[in-house]
Amino acid sequence: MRIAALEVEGVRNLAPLVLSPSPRFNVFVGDNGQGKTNLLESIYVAATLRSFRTTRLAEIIQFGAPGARIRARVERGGLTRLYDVTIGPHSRQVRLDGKAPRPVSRYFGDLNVVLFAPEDLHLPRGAPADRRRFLDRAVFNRRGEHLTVVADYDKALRSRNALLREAAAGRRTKGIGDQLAVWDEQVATLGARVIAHRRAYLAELRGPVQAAFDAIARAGKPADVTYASAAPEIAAAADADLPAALRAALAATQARDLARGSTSVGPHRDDLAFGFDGHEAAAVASQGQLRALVLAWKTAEIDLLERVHGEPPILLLDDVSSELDPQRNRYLFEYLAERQGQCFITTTHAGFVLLDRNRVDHQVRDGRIV
Amino acid sequence: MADPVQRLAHELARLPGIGEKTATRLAFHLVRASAEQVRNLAAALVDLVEQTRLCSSCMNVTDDDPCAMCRDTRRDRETLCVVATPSDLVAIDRGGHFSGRYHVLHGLLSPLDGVGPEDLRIAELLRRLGPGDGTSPPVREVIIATSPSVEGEATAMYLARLIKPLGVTVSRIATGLPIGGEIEYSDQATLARALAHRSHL
Repeated sequence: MRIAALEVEGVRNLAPLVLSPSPRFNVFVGDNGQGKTNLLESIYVAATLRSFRTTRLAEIIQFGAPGARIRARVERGGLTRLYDVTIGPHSRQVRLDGKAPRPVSRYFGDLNVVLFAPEDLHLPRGAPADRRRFLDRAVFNRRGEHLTVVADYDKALRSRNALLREAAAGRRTKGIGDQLAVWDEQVATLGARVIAHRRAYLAELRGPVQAAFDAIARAGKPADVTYASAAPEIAAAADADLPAALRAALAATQARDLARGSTSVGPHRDDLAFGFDGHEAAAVASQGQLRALVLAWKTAEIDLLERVHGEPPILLLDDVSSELDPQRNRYLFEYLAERQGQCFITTTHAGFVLLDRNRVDHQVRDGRIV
Repeated sequence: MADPVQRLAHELARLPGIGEKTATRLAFHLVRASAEQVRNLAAALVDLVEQTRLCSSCMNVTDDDPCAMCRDTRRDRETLCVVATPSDLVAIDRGGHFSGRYHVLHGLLSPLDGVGPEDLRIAELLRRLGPGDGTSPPVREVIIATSPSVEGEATAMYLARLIKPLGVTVSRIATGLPIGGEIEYSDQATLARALAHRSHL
């Protein structure tokens, strides 16, 4: 699949832009703050209706502009589809081939983008919440329904927490047991699906990540990625027993949860564990090995999507080269040169992008792309 | 803009689905419309507040208490269909496939919006399921027809917890593929649901 035409208007500092991207490598060169990432963000929003930088989509609207509009003409398997997103201060309008998709989840599926950003390289030593988001984003690319399940789980969880706080404050105590039981059930059922999706994804990705890591790091020691549930009874449960295990865990921690006004077990407390040589990678691996591990994850993720969807996903590489040492940077571009598919690459120095064929370079200055 | 026009436009703009532009256009349209048409509209609006209330039995909006549906003796008294809003009731009844009676909750459980059981017409529902005065047959089945959203599911589950101990059958409307829908165009969440709730042939 590839973006054949892109139109962006009213997004952050970008001047209105019309672009006919190359089917292979599109390199955007510019200093920091010129608008390179804003361009990748626009593509990402067109594909996922989310931003990777903010949870409030309206933040991408240019200062003083009434709204933002992103249109992408996408060619896939001989078919052309038009993705069209308009974002207002309090609204979001989505059109696919000129029509509003109902439900909006129909919008997803045909335009797969994979983002690789410098922040990703810091994940093994970063916060668990960032790793969960990173994992969920990958799972969503693999199976679109994960987005709905995660959103529903999040709502059920926030509802339960709101109820816990009300109960702790002495309000709504009448029949609180029945009310809590209902939200426990929702959290357990939806939480079990979130965990099952994440586990299934890791089961697919684990082997390829290990193989890619061996090829990149040549460390002679194995790396690993696993799903780590904080509660042992949840970690031990088979997928089919997850709802029951979550239900039991929620019941066991209810007194504590009531006291602190929040839910202490569930997939929102789990983690994506990066391992190296049998230990937690963040503790024992070098900086370079950790980055090789994330790079291995990303290449495995891309390969998996290509296998699943039958077409290479569109890659968004946001200034990753500045964070990789020369040897791993070379590996990344050798990998990219060998595979098919369209890439959008930003960089501060054209020389970082080690591609000598099929590339079209653009300069980005002050929100303008030339 | 003349003051009465502005006032009307302002009031119209507070209605759901009507923005400032549409409100202004409607207001100017009414200025030009016949006085009779406008008076009829005004009278209908006044009647709406003065002559409607909630049916003391099913909690639907009515101008007559008990409402026409609750008085209709051809309707099955043993089956109750529970809906979130009066417009849900209209949607279900339009099909004519349900011949029992209704109960309107006027909302769904939503702790995030501060909506608890006491904010819904649940106590009134439970009263209808009680032993009664012996003049009408007891309710045998309650069909819960709330949306398959997080709040809709939670509300259905909550009602089931309260109603089952009363010895009344509780059922939930099915979710899945729409009639006339194409499987290949269905979204994955709906397909997953349809598979999970498949039925034997």
